[in-house]
Amino acid sequence: MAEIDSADVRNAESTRRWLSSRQDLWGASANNDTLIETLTRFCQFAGKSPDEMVDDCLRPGKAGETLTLRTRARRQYMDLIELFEGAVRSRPQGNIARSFLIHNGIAMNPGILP
Amino acid sequence: MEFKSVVGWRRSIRFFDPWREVEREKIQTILEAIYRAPRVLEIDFVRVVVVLRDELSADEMQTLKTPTTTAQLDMAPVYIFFFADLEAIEPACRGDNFRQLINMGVLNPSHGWTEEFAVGTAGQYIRTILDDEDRVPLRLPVGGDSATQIVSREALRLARTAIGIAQEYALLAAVDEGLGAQLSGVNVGAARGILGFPDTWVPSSPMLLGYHGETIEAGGQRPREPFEEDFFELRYGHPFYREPAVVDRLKAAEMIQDPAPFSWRMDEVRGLARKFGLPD
Amino acid sequence: MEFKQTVGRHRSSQYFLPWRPVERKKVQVILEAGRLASRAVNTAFSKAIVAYRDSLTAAEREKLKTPFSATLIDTAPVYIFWFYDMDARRVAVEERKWPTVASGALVDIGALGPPHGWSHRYVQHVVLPEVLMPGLDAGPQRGGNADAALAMAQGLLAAIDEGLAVNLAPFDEAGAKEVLRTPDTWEPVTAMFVGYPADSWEAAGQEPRPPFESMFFDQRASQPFERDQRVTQRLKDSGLIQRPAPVPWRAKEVRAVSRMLNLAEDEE
Ligand SMILES: Cc1cc2nc3c(=O)[nH]c(=O)nc-3n(C[C@H](O)[C@H](O)[C@H](O)COP(=O)(O)O)c2cc1C
Repeated sequence: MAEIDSADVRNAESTRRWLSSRQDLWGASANNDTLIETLTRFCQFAGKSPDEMVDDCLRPGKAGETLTLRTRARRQYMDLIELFEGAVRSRPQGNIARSFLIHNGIAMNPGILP
Repeated sequence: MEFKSVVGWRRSIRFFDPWREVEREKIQTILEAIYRAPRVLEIDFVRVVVVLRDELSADEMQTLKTPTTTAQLDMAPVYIFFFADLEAIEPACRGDNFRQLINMGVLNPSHGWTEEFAVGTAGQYIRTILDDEDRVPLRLPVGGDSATQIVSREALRLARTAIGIAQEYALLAAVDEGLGAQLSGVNVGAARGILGFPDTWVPSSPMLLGYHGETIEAGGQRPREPFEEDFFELRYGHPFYREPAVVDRLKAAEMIQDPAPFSWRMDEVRGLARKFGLPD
Repeated sequence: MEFKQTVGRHRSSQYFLPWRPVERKKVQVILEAGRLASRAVNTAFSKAIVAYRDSLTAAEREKLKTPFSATLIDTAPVYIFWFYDMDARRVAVEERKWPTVASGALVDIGALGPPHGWSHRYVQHVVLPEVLMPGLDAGPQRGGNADAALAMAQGLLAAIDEGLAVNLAPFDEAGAKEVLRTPDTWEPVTAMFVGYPADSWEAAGQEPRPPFESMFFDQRASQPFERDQRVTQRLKDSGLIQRPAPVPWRAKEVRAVSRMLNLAEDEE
């Protein structure tokens, strides 16, 4: 698959949902560039687009209409973000990836910083 | 603290300072408050297990977590688990506690309390609850294990009432001790393995306990539906009139406080996210 | 009153002054306290109906009695019947009318948010289907709910704080349906009988409990929590632990109070 770039990330539905949910909750943010940049790095790290990551974790259930949380996929992303965080050596960057999934409906819980 | 301000300052605290232990005497004080809580039909249902987070292994911690409760378990240094032991009903049917209370002048012949009444009428009343035919398994069978008890819903009703009373006493006692507390769901199956509680104990939500990691206001008193939805006078459908003067008196006594959310709450939550390294 | 005193002064009161009414505002305080109790998913599981002895006919009172509450119904001026609304979760999920978890209110007010992994979408796609909706199809289920008792316990302590005597005792469910017209989805918790005490507030003394070590455990359900006597001494000083029943004069007090209230005399 072609390398994901920040324009793809910015245009993804799940990204827009993330930014709008953040804005609803925390108020307007002057600049989302850092968020997009970090999410792009994480997408490249995971080899997945934003929408693919969300779809991996929340899929239509058997009845079709409602989404169901895939516990194993969620756990895999939690582990992957931890690896990413280690690679970039930054909790804040790891948390940007988590924030993306959380606002898309997938709970992420890193350990508490000592 | 004054009782009314304890009620007013209680709210579910979801950020604890994870590095600050709770003094053992404060934990005991909470238990002593639970010890004084009224007993439903004088049945000795309540069992409480205090668990220190730091004495759990990483694996045990992991299994206790549910998708809805994780960060709080990491932050709170103490978990207090509440149970109701259904085995306590049998001695109650024999009238053991009633007899003791009659001897102490708590229950008296003026109200019909005699040895015969304790064992016959009162004990029999409880026996009817225990033997009621509407029954459910105490827990869902796990794996090949089908040995779970089938118990009467009426007995469960009493057991859960006893748990609720103990929980509220514990929450209030925690506030009075200057601590933050919250009832929280955990993985009960994992708790069973870790705590080793018997099959006859009805589990419930534990109380997470620690020093506040957020301000004690925690964003303001949490919202409720209108008073008139819950409280009625003389009959259902006729709301209990809520006199504003009483509300004012309770505001002055700090029992009714400014409602959530405070204007600065969201800034606080984001600050807390940074404090503990959590996402926002 | 200090919190520890309030807890320490609880007695299962048996003797109420039948002629002394309870101020309505004190009854409201009890309800206001109940309303502020912790409640799972911030849902109104707890409900209460206040009734007065003198507002019911003798026949109606009779219908509410159980062996435990017969004399209390005859003597206490105020009854608060507490219930668990078995339908509250469904209403919270389907109507989203009040600020419950289902309505997203806890996220909106910053009680539960992204730092805990929560967002509106999480409530909608995970909490609702996985926590709040399972079991709703089966309809209201009996078997109690701690939440209703949390509210009742907080109300009970508020009554003591207001200087009132209280007693919890079961009431007749079918009778309550008839007299109080309670909905079918309400399951009884217990009745709270409220009034001014006819005996001294100390009554028989603090009521007995099983050994502390049989109720409280440390880290494992098999290991008793060791009770530090220095802590119990401090709690005696603050009034949480009080003189145990029976106080030496209790029998005389009971006889005298029974005479005062025209209750059947102690036969001893
Ligand atoms: C039995 C019970 C279980 C609860 N479980 C949780 C929980 O798992 N997670 C959580 O954040 N809050 C939990 N709560 C707390 C409630 O959400 C909280 O009491 C309610 O929102 C009202 O807010 P307040 O306690 O601040 O007044 C629980 C409360 C009760 C009574």
